[in-house]
Amino acid sequence: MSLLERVRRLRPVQFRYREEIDPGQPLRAGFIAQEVKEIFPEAVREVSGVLMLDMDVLSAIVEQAKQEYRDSILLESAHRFN
Amino acid sequence: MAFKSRKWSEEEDWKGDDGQSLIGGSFTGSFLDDRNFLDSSRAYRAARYEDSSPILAGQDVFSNTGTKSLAGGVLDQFNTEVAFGADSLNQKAERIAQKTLAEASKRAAEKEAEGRKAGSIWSTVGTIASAGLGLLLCDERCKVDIADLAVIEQDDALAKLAYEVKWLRELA
Repeated sequence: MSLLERVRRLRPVQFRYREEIDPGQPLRAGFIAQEVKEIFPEAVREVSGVLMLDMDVLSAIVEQAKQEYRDSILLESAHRFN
Repeated sequence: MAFKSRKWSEEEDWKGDDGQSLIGGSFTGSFLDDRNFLDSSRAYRAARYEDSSPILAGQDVFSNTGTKSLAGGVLDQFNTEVAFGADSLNQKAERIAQKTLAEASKRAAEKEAEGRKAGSIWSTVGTIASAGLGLLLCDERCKVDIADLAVIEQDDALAKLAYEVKWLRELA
């Protein structure tokens, strides 16, 4: 399975943090760490028994997936012209 | 009718020129002196009624005694009571406000203590997440109202990443 396909398996969600964490509780966008861990375990860290997302790793993964998508578009275009 | 100015006693009726008894009573002294038993205020009021002048609220009708008219007195009393009543209400409201504030402060302190006790793990994790380590709190247990991404109220780096992934999914 390509990296792009793995990234497409991620489920972007909207959520609110619990009130004791974020009193304002605005609606945010993100991922569920438990779900991300099943697909990209390297992007998830465990701190004091709590799962946290490593933004640097996940950003690099998504950036690489975008590059794969662009490459696939170029490759498809090239096939069309050929 | 002409009045005689002379002394009389209880035993003696004062009589007019025609010999008719005019007054039988317990007065002593001359009539002219004892007419002062009509206090000056009543005399003044009678005079006011005679000249048909209106008695206005707050007007010093009994100016010679310093006593105000009935209407004026009632109004003054009313105003005084209203003023005292307003002061009393203000004081009461202030006491209630202070009590409510004290109770609210107490409840807030208790809630904060409970929050520290129950959410200590989240506080620790939150501190780590905000320490610039690039770690974000994404544990399912710390989130509520989870749903597929549609709309957000807070834009941040993670939101940008989530929308990019959503875009990649939609292009598939």
